[in-house]
Parts: sequence; structure tokens; C-alpha cells
Amino acid sequence: MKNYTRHIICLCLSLLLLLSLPVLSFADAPAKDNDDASWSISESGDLLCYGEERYLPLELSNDYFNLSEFSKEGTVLWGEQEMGVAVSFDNADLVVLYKDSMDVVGGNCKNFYYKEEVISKARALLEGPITNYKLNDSYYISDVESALIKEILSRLSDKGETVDVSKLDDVEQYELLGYFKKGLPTKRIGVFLDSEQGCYYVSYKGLTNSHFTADGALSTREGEVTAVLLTDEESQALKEALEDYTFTNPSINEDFPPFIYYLFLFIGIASFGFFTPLAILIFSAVMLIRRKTLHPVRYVALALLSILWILLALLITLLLLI
Amino acid sequence: MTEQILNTEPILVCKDLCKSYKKNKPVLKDFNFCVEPGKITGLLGPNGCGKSTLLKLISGILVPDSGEILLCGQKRSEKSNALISYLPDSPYFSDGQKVENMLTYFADFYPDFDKTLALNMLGDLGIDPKARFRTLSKGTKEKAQLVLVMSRKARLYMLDEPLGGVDPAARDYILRTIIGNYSPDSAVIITTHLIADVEPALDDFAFMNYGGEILLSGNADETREEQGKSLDTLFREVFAC
Amino acid sequence: MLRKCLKYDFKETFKLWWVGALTTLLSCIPMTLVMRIMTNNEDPSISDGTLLAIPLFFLVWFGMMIGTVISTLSVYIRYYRHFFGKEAYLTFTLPVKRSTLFTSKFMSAMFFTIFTYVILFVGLFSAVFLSEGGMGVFEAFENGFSSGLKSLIPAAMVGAVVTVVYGIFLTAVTAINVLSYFLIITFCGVYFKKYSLLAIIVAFYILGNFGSFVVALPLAGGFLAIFGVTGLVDANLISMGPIQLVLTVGAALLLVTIALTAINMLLAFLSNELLERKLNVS
Repeated sequence: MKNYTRHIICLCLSLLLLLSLPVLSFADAPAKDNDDASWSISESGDLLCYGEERYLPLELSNDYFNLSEFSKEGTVLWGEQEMGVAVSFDNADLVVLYKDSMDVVGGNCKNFYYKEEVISKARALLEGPITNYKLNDSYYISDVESALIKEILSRLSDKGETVDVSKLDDVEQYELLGYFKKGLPTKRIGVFLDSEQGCYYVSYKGLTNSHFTADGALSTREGEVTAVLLTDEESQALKEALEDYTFTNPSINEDFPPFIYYLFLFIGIASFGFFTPLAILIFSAVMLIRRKTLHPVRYVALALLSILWILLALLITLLLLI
Repeated sequence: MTEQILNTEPILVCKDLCKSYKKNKPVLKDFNFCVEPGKITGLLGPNGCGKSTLLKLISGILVPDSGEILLCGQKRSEKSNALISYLPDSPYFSDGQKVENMLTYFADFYPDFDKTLALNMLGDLGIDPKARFRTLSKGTKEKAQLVLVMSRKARLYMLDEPLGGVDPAARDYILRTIIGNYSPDSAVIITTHLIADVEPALDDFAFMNYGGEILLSGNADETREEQGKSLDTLFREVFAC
Repeated sequence: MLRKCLKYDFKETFKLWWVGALTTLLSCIPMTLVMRIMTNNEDPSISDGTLLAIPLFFLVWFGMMIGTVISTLSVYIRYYRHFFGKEAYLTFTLPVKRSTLFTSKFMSAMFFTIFTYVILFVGLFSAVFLSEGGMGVFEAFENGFSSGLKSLIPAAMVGAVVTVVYGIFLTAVTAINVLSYFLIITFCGVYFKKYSLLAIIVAFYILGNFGSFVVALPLAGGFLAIFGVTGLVDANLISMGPIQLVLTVGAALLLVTIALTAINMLLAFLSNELLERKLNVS
């Protein structure tokens, strides 16, 4: 075979080989508790450690609702109880201890821990101003426009009316959750009561335990609350937001460690961002150096594009890592 | 044909041409050949000696392994195709095409194509321009192809077996067309086995052997006079089995 | 010369392409009936309407597939015949550069391939639009398509942005598709000569199946990874300053553009090299 043909075949084979590398990631990822570092917790539970990393309890009340999915990272022995340790997909600083993978279902925020270095910032954000809202119908979570919610909330103080909830027929409840930054538990702000008499918003502020059922929903058997009546447009907007649900209640995934996700992403980025343009650059250089082409300008242009490709991939990697 | 030669530079020069289809089996090896303007040259040789290969190399259908081809002093390129009118040994038209569509096609790509001349020639040969190629016989297809080739005002006409498959009456017409339709500053190369039919039209000739070896070449009239025999007889002697 | 080549390429390709396009369009007519039956049928379990809808659906699907395949193949048949069939004698004796011949084939292939998608879309859209309840399917599709964008840019611009971005992306990917097939045909035609057609079919089959598997693996993994680490990326993006965010997104868009351009160029150059220096028509 001529040399030229060998180059093409080598190029094709090398690209195919590189694209096949992700097969390796089907090999079992090393579990974190087999590494030198392992999870440990103080007897009182107020300090969780992983190697040199320290996590403190967030101590969230029932006012908070978890939206994060978690992935199991290992186990820790707390007293005589072996607890699972899971890290949030959205936020690597957020960790939960759990006995059962259903522990975070229903938005439960029990046994949440946060990295010590940044916990004060997280606590400030949890208490801080809310700019994003979601609706929770106890199964689905939906995004809702913040402008709509802010308009409703602004009417609460002066246009709120006292409503006897027991007089509302056929009520459906949609809890309003608010947050500033993704990756942290959301705050349970209030609830929408969609009844035949109209759709009301009730703020949780000032309500006591007696206003709630054992499930945490607003009790509609008896009691009076301050509510604001939504207009027809607002009710319609709310219904449309509910139809466009994004995901169900979060859970802890014990089967699929994020290591594979990161490996896939890395191989994808490495193949596409570096190996492919490198292969093209080498091919162009060979064609130019060995004078195998009648159109050298084409290969100069291709080589320059490959170099630019690699530089941009480097730049993006740097920008994401900063 | 006028004796006035308008251009003395060779129209075609082949220098050390090499071409092989398989390793260690060269079809042409260090082949050198030259065609002067105003000449009809017969390239004669046994089957498989490389005549068609040479014409394909000149026309650009094949790429030489090494060597050089110069057309009117310039290296062979796609531009040279405008100077060459090539008739291959097999039809190359799409069967669904109409003859008149091919006339339009040639007129579009070759500025030197004379559509009127082509239509006249088709009429003389009894070929309906509106007929589709699939409806024509093998011989008629070849005639149609020849009409297209000879209707151009090219510098070099290359005709690969123009008379094979054509009836004797049409052969005379074709030969008259070849002689009558080319200008003194162009040249014609004909490859054929029907030497006796073509011989009267030839100015120069070359006997080509396997590997592209030229065994005998020169002016046809002078050779006939020297040898006292026709080129056909000479061919049979040189290539006797 | 390019215009002349284009004229003939378009004419010759169209001779087969229109058959496929018409088949695709006509297959979409029964789709209207299928949509009406499926959206009006209150009981999703087996009933007369559903019994009729199932074979109709397969008829539609089969017809559309056949039509699209014929339309798509028409450009490759033209390419093969012109460069590797008996017409090659005529092609390569024209006073036209091989790169010009190739460019003409590429441009006509892009036009007919994209138009094939358009015909498919128009046929499906018309069928959906003409059927009751079909608009709901279309609206759900459109909402899903652009919902993410609505939070970033004014609603009025979403349609235009989606069309431009997806249109450019689709065109670039179509170009890669076309050029890849051209390269396969050229490679097999140059190196397999007599058996080129067989080699092309085998290459399409192997590369189509094996190549899809090999490429799909990292792609699937990449998608999984993207979904899995979305939160991480989101958190990173939110914590980025505006300048850093603009630089990152801009660099990413530029990288994708350059990557698609470079891949297209490489495929085109390889085919041209083979045609110019290695193609020996026999």
C-alpha cells in the first residue's frame, strides 16, 4: 500500500480507538471507602470527616425542603448504626447521612451536613433574599415565574383577607418553595389553595403547628388564615406552570456513582477537545512536510483551525475550573 | 489539406512515461512519444500493449506513475482538456440521455463545439437527435460519439478504435470526416486494428509493443516507399505470432 | 464552470430525487387519518379506530422511510455514477478541475439532502396540522424544544434563535454526513475498482452499525454525564462572573463552529486528494 493510504487508515483507527475509550469506564469505579480516606463522624454527630475535609450539620428545620438528588459515596459508623453517606449532585459541599435511600423523599432535610469552610456562607444564603421559586404538589416540582409570585406576595400585607379554610370545597394544595442559589435546600414559604371558591395563597409566616397536618400539609379541617385571592390570570398562569413540571421528588441513588459521570464527561471533553484536533493537526503536518499534496494552503488552514480548536478547548477547561 | 503549418511546436510530448496496473507488470515503461501539428498519427500495436492506456493518460483519466505529459508546451492539467477531444473505445453516455441533450452538454462545456456541424453530421449518418441512447445500436452509439468528438475545434483529437463496430460504409464517412474536419495546427492520434482501412488517412505511424516499446515509427508514405509494402503487411510481419 | 456543473448535477439528481420526495409527501396523507383516529379515540385499548390506525401508521412509516431513502440516495447515486461509472470518461475529460466537480456535487447534495428533511417536515407538519388534536402534539413539541431558552431571552426572539442555532447546527452536521459518505464512496471507488459498489455497501453497513455503536458510547456517556453533573456545571456557571460566563459560552460556541468546519474541511480535502491523485478510471 502507498504511504498516503497508511496515513488515512492510521488516522481512522486512532480516532476509532479514542472514541472507544469510554468502554473502560464500565469497569467498576473504586468506591471511596476503599481509598486511604474514609468517612468518620463524632459521637455527637456534630462533625463529619472525610480525610481532611470537615463537614458540620446544617440543622435545618421543617421550614426547608430538599430538591437535590444525592449519590452514595460511602458509609460511616455512627455509634453502632451504619449510615450511608451521599453527596448532592448539584453541590459537592452538601452531604446527607441516611439509613434508607428514601430518607430524602418528600424533601426531608434531616441529617444534612455542609463543608466547614463554606457553611456560614451557605447558612446566610439559606436565610437570604429569595429570587427563585418552585411549586410542589407533593409529587411533582415545577418552575414558576418569580414575577408572578412577587406580585402575589406584595398584595399579602394590605390585600390579605381572613379565610376560614374549612369552608373551602375540594381543595388542592401546591406548596411554594423559594431559594436564592441552586444546590441548597429551598425554603417553604407558603401554599396555594386551589378550591372551587377560588385560588388562595397562604403564607406560612406566623402559622403554628396546629395549622398543619401530620404530613406537613396545611390543615383544611378547621382554622382561619390570612390569604390573598389570586386573579383569574394568576390562577391560569399557576396552572400552566404546574403542567410544565420538571422533576419528581429527589432521592438517593445508590447504584450509579458520579465517578462514571465525570469519567464520561472527561473522556468526551478530552476526545472532542484535544485528541480529535490533535489527530487532524498531525495529519495536516504530515501532508505538508512530506509534500503529499498539490494544495498546501488547504492543509495550512486546517492545521491553523486545529490549533485554534485546541486553544479554545484549553480556554474553556480553564474557565470552568476557575 | 493545406501544407501550411501554423505552429511548429509539438502538440504532444510524452517524456519517460511509466504506468502499471499491477506491481512488476508495467504497461508503459519510460515511454517517449511526440506528435507534430497537422499530422494524423496511427498508433498501432497488439492488444494490451498500452495504446488505450496512453490515450487515457494524455486525456487525464489515468494518472501516470512517473514521467511528464506536455500539451502545446504546457504540463497536462484540467485546462488541457479544452485542447483535447477524446473518443474512448466504449460509449460513455447515460442510456437515458437524448442525443440532442449531449450536444447541449458539449456546447456548454466546450466553447469550440460546433452544434450546427454536429447536427449536420448526425443527419448524414441517419441518427435522430431526439433518440435516447438506449434505443441506439452499438455501432450507432459509436457514430454519435464520434460526431460529438469531431464537431469540436480541438488541438488534439484522440480516437481510440473509432472504426470498430461500425459498418464499412460508415467507416469511409468517418475517415473523410477525420481528414476533413481537423485544422492544420491540430493533430489526430488514431489507435485501431483495422490498419488497412485507416492507412490511407495516416501521415505518421508508430508500431507499439508491450511495455510501450516503439518498434517502428515514421512517415507512412516514406515507409511504404522504402519497404515496398503496405503498413498492414508490415504490421503483420513485425508482430507475427 | 461551477454553475454549469451545478446545472447538470441538479438536473440529473432531481430525476430520481423527486420520486422519493413524492413518495414521502403522499405517505403523510394517511398520517392525517392516523392522527385523527389516535387523538379522537377516547378508549386507548383495542377498538375499531385503533385497529385501523395501527396498519395505517406502519403504511405511513414505511412509505416515508422508502421515500426519504430514495431521495437521500439519489445524491450518492449521482456522485458514484459521475465519478466511478461509465460516465467517468466524460466527467474527467471535461475542462473542469476535479475540485470544482466535487464542489458542485457537494453543493447539490446539501441542497437535496436538506430539502429532503424539509419535505419530511412539511409532510408531517401538514398531517399533524390538518388533524384535530394534532396541534397539541406540535405545541408540546415546540414547548419542550424551546422552554429552556424562554428564561434566557425575550419570548419573541425564541423562535428565531432556535431556528438559526438549530438550522446552522443541522446544516453543519448534514455537511459532515454528506462528506463522510462521499469519502467512503471515493475511497471504495479508488481502491476497490471492480468491487467498489460491494465495498461501499459493506462500508456503509459496517460503519453505520459499528461506527454508530462506537460513537454512540461516548455520546451516550456524555449525555449521561451532562445530566448527572448539570448541577455541578450550573452551580459553577451561576457562581461565574458575567465576563467569565460570556467568555465561556462564547468560547464554547466558537469551538463547536471551528470543530464542525475543520471536520468538514478534512473530509472534503481527503476526497479531493483521492480524486485528483489516486483516481484512475479504468
